[in-house]
Amino acid sequence: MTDRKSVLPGTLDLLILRAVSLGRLHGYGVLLRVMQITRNELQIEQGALYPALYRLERQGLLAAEWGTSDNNRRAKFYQLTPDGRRRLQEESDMWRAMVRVMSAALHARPGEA
Amino acid sequence: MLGSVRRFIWRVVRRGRLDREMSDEFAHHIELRADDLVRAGLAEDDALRRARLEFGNVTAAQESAREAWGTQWIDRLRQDCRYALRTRRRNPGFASIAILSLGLGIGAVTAVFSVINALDFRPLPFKSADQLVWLAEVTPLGHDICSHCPFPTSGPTLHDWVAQSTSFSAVGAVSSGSFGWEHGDVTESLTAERATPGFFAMLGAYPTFGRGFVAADTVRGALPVAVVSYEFWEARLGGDPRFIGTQLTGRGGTRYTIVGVLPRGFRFRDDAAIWTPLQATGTGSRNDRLLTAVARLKPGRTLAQSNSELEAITRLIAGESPSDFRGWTVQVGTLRSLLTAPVGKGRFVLFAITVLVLIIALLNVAGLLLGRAVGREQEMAMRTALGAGRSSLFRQMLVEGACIGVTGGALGVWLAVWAVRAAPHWIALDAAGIAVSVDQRVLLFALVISLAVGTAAALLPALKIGSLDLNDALRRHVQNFSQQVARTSNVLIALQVAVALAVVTAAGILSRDFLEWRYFDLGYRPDSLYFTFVSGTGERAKDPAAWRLVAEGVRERIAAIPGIGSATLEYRNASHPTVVHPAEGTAQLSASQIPAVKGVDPTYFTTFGTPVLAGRNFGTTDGPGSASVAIVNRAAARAFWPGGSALGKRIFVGDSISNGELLIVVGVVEDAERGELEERHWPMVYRPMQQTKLYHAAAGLYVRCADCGNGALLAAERAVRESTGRSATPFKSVIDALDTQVVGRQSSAVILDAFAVFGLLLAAMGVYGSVAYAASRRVREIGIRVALGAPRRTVVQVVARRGLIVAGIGVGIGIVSALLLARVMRLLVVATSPMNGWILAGAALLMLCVAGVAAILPAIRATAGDVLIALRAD
Repeated sequence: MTDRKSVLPGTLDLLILRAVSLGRLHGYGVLLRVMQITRNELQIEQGALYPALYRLERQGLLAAEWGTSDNNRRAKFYQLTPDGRRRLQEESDMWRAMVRVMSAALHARPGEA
Repeated sequence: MLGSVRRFIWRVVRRGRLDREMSDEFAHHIELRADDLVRAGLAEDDALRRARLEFGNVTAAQESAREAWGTQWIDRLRQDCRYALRTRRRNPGFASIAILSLGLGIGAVTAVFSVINALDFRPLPFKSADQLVWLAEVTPLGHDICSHCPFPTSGPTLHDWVAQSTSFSAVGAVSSGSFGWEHGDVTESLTAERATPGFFAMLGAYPTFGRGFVAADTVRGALPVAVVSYEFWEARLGGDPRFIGTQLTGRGGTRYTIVGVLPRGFRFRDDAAIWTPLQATGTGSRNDRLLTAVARLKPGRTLAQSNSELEAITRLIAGESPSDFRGWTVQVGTLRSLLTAPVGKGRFVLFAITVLVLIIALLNVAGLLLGRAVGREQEMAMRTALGAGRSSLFRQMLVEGACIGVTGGALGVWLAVWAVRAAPHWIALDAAGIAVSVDQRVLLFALVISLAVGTAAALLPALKIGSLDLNDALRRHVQNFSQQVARTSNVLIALQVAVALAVVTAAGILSRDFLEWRYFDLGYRPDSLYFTFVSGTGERAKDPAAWRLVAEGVRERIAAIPGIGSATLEYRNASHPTVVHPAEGTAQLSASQIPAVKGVDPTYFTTFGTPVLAGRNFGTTDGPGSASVAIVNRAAARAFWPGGSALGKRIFVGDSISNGELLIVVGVVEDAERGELEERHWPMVYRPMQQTKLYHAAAGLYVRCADCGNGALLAAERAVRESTGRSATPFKSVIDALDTQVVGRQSSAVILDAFAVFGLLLAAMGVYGSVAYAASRRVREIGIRVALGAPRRTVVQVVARRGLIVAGIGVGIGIVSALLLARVMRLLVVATSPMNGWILAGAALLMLCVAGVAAILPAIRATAGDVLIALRAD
């Protein structure tokens, strides 16, 4: 567990949006989905997940409703709003651009530019 | 925006439910995680523990989740408030002084603001009051009563305005006067107004019972009718609707049929009990300006449009009769300006003074909080050590201040409600006929002021606490801090002294202005002067000669009563001659320069104490057979013969230009007649009663007492009853009558003085507290000095000097600002009285004494006792 990387600041929101974009999820489901799509390589502090969920809900990027979970318990399910979908798109594009720029910068050798 | 506000409120309201849901959600999460772990092979107990461990700090997660909702500051505020209240309970003395100071200050400001609110902000209590305007003529420059002031208009001019203007949907007029109500065997003088038909309807005031006036009421020969106010009807007529149709007897026996009762609370510029119809005829002189014209603008018309229309109409009229309009102009003003004009600007002056007093209270509380902050530095340090952020301490202090402010504000509002209810006429407001009350706007004002003042008072200590080095504080190394605080507190002391002196100076100037008016320049001595009215009854009243004998008999009987110095009869405006002018010369006189004529007897001027300035008084020889003589007052002499002597000149007095008589002026007396609250005296012509053919069945009877202690006035009343067959209304003191006239001014002066004294006391309290505190902080230093062998007297002197220097600086600033203020006031306000140097000096001395005593007492205590105790002190 110690070799897993902790989440880069600011990326947790993006990960959550991405996780929820694949389908309606409750809080624990979000955690599992994030772990799944990051191939278990990121360490997420589970408690920190919720403030992020509430923040996204308050910003209108996620919609929440109460339903029944697989184990027949009342659970709060989150899903992406149209705003959330747009935001996810923007943030992903930005992230990809950033990755391109950063990796180019890190691979550059003197004289190449 | 609204949506997010609604969501926010929703979240605040549902905070409890959100909390529960959050706990649910967390529990669910941990449960699911534990299930997974069990599936992965862990024992159930281990799985649950592991799940909890992985989830991390639940409370921290909840905290940051709540922060995500954005409602957390409410919890914080609640916490701070609870803390503030707890601190207050721990220190009730401090809290009650602070709350009392602010409460009195806020109460004063709120009370005066409620007056300003009623007069200047709240809609007037009439239908669509913003459309109502006042049609006024404007006096020429140098007019006797007032230069360039809005003035009533005349019947003919009003008639032309109505006929030719298109701006107004309705025009009405009122004219005030008095109504002599004869009931039983007394004549009671009631405040009365006359109003044109349609006036009430224009204001949207429809009689509760009966009807208002109609055009038929004003035609010649119509039955005299009257409408009464609801209050008069209820209090004096028994509140019986059947009273409609019955009659009231007016002066001279005219019987008025009551046709209506006005709605409850209806007032227009005064408290008229009875209204009679007024006909604005097109006949008469344009110089008789007696009608106050009010109109309703047609929808869409502006004040400016109606103004220029009226100006155009009036230019035409003035072209036809230029002598009546020399220098006169017209103006359309708001109804509010008409109603508030008689009240003057005193309310703004009072407001300014109360704001200054509130500032003193604020400085007081700031000083108290500052002193206490020093005592609490350890508590603050402890709280910081326990994890309170600096900003949270700052916030805590401000919330404490706001709590004190709001509590003080609640007290203040209570005081203001009481003041407004107990004394509506205190601040000279009845003149405007507008009810004053504490309404929502006033409450909002008080709330804002309370919060602002409370927070402002806490700001300084809060900043100081912010700069506190906590490690030092914890180690009780507080010298540095308390020195800093001492500097700040010195500034507060100086400020307080300065503001207090400014308040005292301003109040001194203004209240002298208010008060001195009362007995200033009356032209007679009002002290030990009493008056009543005598009137004849029945047939005898209709025979002038017989009546005059009776009245003269009464006067002689009364003058002979032991204790009565002299007595005189006054036949005021017994008949108002329409033509009075100097027999020679062609002096052009304005309406207000035409004298009133009064019939008096030889004892008149001596009884009133009015000095004869030139010539002689009337004598018993000025009878029907001798030459017709007159005495004029200075105002008339100046108007008739500017720059020359009046003695020996002749005056024409008559009903018309052709029908009158010539009088020789034998004396000039001091001006002694003027209207209520008027600045200028009226021009007067006095004639010996014996020489006039004036007929009047009622006279004023004035008595100057030499010693009225032993029932002399009662004996005089008995004499009146026995001689005339009617009981006299009880004698009234002229001073009392004057006081009711100027009650507004007088109480304004009293209120002003009270505020000044209150401000001074408040400042003294604050200065004492701050100086004594600063001195007591130096007890240890004093101990060291004494231990090192300094003579005790020297030490006391040193300590006292420091307190005095601070107060002295304040006094210096205060005197300079007071002088500046006095100069500004003389420029801006009506104030004419010079600044009273003694008051200022006294106030300054008081401040110095207070500061001196406050500084010396702790020093004496420290030096007198055991040096070791002083050394061990903080």
